[in-house]
Amino acid sequence: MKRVVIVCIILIVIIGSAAGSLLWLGNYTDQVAQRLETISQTAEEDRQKALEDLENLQKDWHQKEHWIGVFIHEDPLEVMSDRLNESIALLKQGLYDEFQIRIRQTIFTIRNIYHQEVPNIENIL
Amino acid sequence: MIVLIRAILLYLLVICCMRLMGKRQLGELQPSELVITILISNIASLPIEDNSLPMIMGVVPILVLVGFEVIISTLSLHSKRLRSLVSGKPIVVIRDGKVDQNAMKKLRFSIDDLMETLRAKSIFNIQDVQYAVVETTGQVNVLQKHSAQTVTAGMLDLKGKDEDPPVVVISDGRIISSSLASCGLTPAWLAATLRENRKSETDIFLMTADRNGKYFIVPMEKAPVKGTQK
Repeated sequence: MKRVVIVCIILIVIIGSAAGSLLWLGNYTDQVAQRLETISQTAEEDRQKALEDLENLQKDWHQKEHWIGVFIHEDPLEVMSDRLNESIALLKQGLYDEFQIRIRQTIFTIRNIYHQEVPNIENIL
Repeated sequence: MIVLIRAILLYLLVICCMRLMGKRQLGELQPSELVITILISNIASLPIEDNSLPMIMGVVPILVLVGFEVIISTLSLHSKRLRSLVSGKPIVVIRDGKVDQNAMKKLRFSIDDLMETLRAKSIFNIQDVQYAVVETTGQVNVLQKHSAQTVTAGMLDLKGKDEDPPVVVISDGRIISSSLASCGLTPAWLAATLRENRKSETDIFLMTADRNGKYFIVPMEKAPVKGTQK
């Protein structure tokens, strides 16, 4: 009986942390996607401000990336980091069209990180 | 270095999980337990081999599998139907000395398999078998016909008393107090026995004793002095 109690506690902790981390990931990826949308609009009016915001976002991402890497495969996280680096480089060079395309891809990547973790039939199968 | 630490952590986790599954796991594998054991060994190896895989991807499935195994086996204890669903039922392949061919077909158990199992039990003549049962673990248990059974004290109506087996009370120079207590002996008895044999506990490699105070001592071999060994 003691074993069953231990196992139940372990399973409750696992299910609780899985649900908690999924909620947190959903909120965080939404937040990053919104910030990227705003940066994309700001870049058309004020390039310098957009660059500062994007660099701040990158710093924040690097801090969170390690934590997210605890429960998610590293590959999509690396793709996201690469996309952010490329977006910064394109904005610095003044290549707005390419920058806008890359920002769209970055938004897709960050949303995809969350969608791949949602326990729906597609992801389970 | 990371691989080393990951390997140690996963090793400790698998040991804990095996302990959590209990002794039954190590002695006899039911079909579900065999599946869990194979899965655990495969899952545990993935995060060790691949550093890019978060360790949690190995830890969580292992804990979940072990958790469900413990829950299912506990529920099986209370429900016969669940028990037969998860582990199957033992099937009689020889009944009253007659081979049940239908049961063997169902089990996909050939006559060669049966003969091999019987030979492994030192039974070379199938006519000596009264009953043979294929257990849920795949093991075949056999009841021999009365004429072929080994003679027991009961058959010969011999009187005798049941005795507990001797236990190890000193191992490699160390007293095992729990063993001493389990056979109802005291440290004072041990001290007196050692005095009688002119030995201290550190001189003894192995000492066994039973409830009646009968003991057996294997003294420690002295390490050879350097340069004198031939």
